[in-house]
Amino acid sequence: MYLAKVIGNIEARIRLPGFDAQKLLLLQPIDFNQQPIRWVVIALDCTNSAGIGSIVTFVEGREAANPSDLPVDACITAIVDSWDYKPTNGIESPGR
Amino acid sequence: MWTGIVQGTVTSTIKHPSLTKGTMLIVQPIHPLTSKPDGLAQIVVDTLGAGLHQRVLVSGDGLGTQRLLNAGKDCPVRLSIAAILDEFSIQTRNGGAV
Repeated sequence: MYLAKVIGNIEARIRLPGFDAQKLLLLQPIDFNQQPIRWVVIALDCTNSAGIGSIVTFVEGREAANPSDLPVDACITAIVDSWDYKPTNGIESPGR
Repeated sequence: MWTGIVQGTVTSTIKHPSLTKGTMLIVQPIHPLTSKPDGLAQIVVDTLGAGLHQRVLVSGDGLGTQRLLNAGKDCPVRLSIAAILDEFSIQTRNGGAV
């Protein structure tokens, strides 16, 4: 799982039936210093609570489809309240 | 599976029910031989009680994680901590040279 900021949503008129109930959101993955990493991801919101500006965690891969049984490969798993990041001396995430 | 170092925690109130059975840790992947950073830090579910700056073994088995958390088939979690490497040894030939 990575952190991400919700930066938008996507609506489609023609969609698979299951997509009626849950929203698709546009995520910008961020590192633990809030800097953008990777490229934008589109994810299903399994919490039904995220909105633009929320910081969330998301999972990718087969497990992302587990809650919904829809053909998705990314889903939001939690709305983040806060995090505590203390990088070890000399060992920090390489960023982008 | 890969090795990493615990560098923090993430707290959340609104989350998928399966995530209530473990804590979410920030884990920086590191090379098992050189201990250099090896990829982006990720969030991993922990049930063993790993502490800050401890070295851990992370598994990417989603089904195993689902069983570990006693969660149903709807569990959207992949990464979990399989071991805390406070005392461990790695044997290689030629220092791991290919």
